[in-house]
Amino acid sequence: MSMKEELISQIFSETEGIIGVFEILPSNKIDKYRILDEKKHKPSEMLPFLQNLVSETKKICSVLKDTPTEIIANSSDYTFLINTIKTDGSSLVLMLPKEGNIGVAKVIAQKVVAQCKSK
Amino acid sequence: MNKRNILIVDDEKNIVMSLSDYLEADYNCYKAYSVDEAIKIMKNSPVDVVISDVRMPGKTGFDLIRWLKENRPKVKTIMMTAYGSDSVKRAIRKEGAIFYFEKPIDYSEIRNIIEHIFSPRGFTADLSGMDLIDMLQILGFSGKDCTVTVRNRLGESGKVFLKNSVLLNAETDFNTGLEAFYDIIKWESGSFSVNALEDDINPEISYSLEHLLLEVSRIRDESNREYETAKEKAVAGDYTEFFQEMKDKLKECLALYVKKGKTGNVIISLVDDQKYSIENAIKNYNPDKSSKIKLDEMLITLENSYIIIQQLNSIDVIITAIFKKPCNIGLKYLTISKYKPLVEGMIK
Repeated sequence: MSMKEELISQIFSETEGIIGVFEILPSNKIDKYRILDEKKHKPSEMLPFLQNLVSETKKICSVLKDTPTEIIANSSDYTFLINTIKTDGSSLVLMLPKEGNIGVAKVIAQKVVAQCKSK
Repeated sequence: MNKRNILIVDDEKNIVMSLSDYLEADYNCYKAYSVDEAIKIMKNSPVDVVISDVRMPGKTGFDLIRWLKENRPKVKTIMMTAYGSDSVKRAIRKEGAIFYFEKPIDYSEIRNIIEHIFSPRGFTADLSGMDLIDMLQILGFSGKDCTVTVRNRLGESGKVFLKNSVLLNAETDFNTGLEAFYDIIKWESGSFSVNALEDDINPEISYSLEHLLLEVSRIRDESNREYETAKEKAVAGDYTEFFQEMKDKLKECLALYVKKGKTGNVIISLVDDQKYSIENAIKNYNPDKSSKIKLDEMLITLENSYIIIQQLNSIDVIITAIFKKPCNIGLKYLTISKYKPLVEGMIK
């Protein structure tokens, strides 16, 4: 199951403070994404960074034989919240500014994961 | 609507003038350049809030607070000091100031606090640059019955329940009572909101908030001393001893790795349980260094454990720690962050 584009639109329309949403497939390909200001937050920088982040993280987790459910990653400018959608192994990434409200983002991510499960 | 009255007291005239200029659009500002002058003004004019320097020639800000306590107990006090050591902060709190600012002053923060003092409603605020202890002290002095919900930067939340300057209870995902209160106090950044006191609170603690906050200051002093000891070890360059102490301090830490450089040289590997021995994976962990976006830190929540990865980009070092669930991961995260500068100083 792939995360639907309308879910991405829904996140943007309902949530202040989220500046990017990405779906990363188990193959590590970024299937769908939307960035609020692509001039400021360039996809050419964002996408390879996120692909590397997710694949490198998976390597460590696989050795532990434990399944990641949520990743919070901070860079100097951004906070990324990554949730795994268990049903298809894809990852939902919410991008916030560094000082963004991670609590709100967590609630959104949980809703999306639940909606994906029910579809 | 009538403007509220604020008295600004400082022997530095430029501070009095500039702060008064900043606030006078919304408030009536009285100016005084000594404690005696301030008392004279208050004897003749209504004052709601006093903003005062601590150190002034002759009588000090502490003398002014004592006078206020006896003669104008309803007047709220905000202190400014250029000497923000823990002992001065403690003394300010002990004397009863509701808030203090270290010079140089951020006037917008002072405005926020004044607005809060005059606002009867619930509110939400960012904790960055603001000490949660100070906010609790404001609420304690106001005698407000309220629930303070605090959220740290990992999105974990905790609640503090206050009634008539008494801490009734506190709760986090892992603890309740005093332990939860001390956990929340250690969250140094995040956000909080203040709302009406929830019904049916079990008064598990029922301690004076003032007493508890003084105890928190003492604990912070002790923690700073421990940090200074660790710093000495870091300066001495003893990697193993330093990281072993760091691991001990983290408690519940199953494994701690320190990797230096692209080559995958793991310089520290401290493992309690071989199940969590992931040295090879750490060696092969290779974040994209060519990216303009530099990863600083990461918390991975797994089904049975947590992994914290802290990158020190300036010296090309990665610290990885594994913890078994459940544990208060927010505190672990903050502790590792606190040690980062020491590691940087030691390894560079």
